[in-house]
Amino acid sequence: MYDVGMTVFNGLAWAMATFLVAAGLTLIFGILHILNFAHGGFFMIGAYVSYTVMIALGGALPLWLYLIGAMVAGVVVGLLGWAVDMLVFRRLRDVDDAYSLIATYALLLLCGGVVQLIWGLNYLGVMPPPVLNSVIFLGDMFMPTYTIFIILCGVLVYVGLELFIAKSQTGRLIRVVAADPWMAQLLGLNVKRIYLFTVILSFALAGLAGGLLMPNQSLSPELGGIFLLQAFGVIILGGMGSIRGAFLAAIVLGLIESFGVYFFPQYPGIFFLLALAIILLIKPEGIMGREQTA
Amino acid sequence: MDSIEPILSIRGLDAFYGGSRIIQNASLSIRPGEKVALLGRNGAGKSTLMKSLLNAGPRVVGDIHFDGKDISALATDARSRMGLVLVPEDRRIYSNITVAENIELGRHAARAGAAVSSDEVYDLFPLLAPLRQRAGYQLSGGQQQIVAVARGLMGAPRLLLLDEPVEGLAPVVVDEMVQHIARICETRELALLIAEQNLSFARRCTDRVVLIDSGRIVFDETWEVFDANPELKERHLAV
Repeated sequence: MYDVGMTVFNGLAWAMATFLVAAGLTLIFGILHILNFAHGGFFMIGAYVSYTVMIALGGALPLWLYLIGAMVAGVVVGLLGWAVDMLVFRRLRDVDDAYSLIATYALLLLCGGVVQLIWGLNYLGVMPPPVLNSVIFLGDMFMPTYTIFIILCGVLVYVGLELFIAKSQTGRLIRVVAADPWMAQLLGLNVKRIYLFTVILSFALAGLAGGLLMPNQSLSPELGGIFLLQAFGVIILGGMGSIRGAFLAAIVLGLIESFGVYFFPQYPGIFFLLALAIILLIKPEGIMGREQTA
Repeated sequence: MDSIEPILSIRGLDAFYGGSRIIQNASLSIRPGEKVALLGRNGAGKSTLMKSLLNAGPRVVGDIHFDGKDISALATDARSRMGLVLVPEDRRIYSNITVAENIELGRHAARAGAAVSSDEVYDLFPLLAPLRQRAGYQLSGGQQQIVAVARGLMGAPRLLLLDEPVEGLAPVVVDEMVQHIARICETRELALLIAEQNLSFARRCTDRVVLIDSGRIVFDETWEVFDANPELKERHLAV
């Protein structure tokens, strides 16, 4: 029982950390149909920003200051999203997909370069706040509080996004614009502004994810790529653009990865890719491919 | 010359899709409250002309004034919010939300102080009341068309552009649409431009005819003059 419980717990940890990164990625794809390769780069900038905030405040911080650091990262990266929409995404709306791939890949490289310029090549890191730096024992299981916290954050972000898209006035307009932007503008909706809002939200989620996941990570300019790969796997399996799909896919892939590593500890990181390939062979449109949430 | 300011006036308008010029040197003006039919064969440029007025598709060169203002630099949504409202040919009802929500969306185009109450719209289209909670994808073609027109009206249009509003509808439904449009014109102060291939429908809804052929406006007169020149029909409308 101990092993199964711990393996599930580890799977959920993988799942929710990945979902935190994937949420903004799938949102922007669902609404603007832009596959944003730079998402991992902005996630990384979020992590570095929150690192800087925490160091400036003195290192080992209470929980609430750590949360404020993550929020600051969300706001800063959200503002970068505003700039990126104005300067880049707006020009990609009526051109071939290949251009957006090239443009967002260039942005990813730019993020790496900016991080090197500002923070250098050395590995950086801070500890989680003391409250999150302990372990809870449940029978035989020991669960790091930081991991529990990340799982909670993933669930909260998921529920919040779902509610926002389904219930709020802005969320409704976002769905309308996603379904038919041409008609939306004829109805007098300012489609540009709704796109801008979506981009800012997506980037802010990337920044927030960076801030939340930063403790326990070694910060280096390669950080962007690692999570991006997992996040792409999750949104592809979830059905591109679906928030619910990404959430479910993250759990499925997280559990498969975690059980894979339990049985074959010498091959970490392989099982989620294998599972992704196999599931897509059977169901190429992904889990929620037919019904786009966003 | 009439002293009333036109609500819409275009001069020397060209519209392009890619490299091909679909509309050539079009000039047209519509006065407040006027009902105009835009007739032409399939592919003559009726839809393209309507979309050009809203900057909603083709690349447009030329002069467009609406309500006395030059709108040629305005985005589509800004033009809609001035009261220039297009109900497109393919209706474009949002399928995953209800009829009531679809109609409510039209309100975004309404100018401040010009809002139409939804009661007013449901009064105009009694058929809609029982459909309110139905999802967009559950509607018949005729119902979709009525929802599309009702949604357009929510934007308090000063010029309502209807692109083939009875295309593909049964004759009974076409008759209903004639009555709807008559009711709209009685109760609301608006000008109307209807693109049509259905001559009898267009005749019953409008008092002026504009013929378009291969992207050029070739005739712009009353129905009486149109009827007095039967060769027009042969030359510009016969398939």
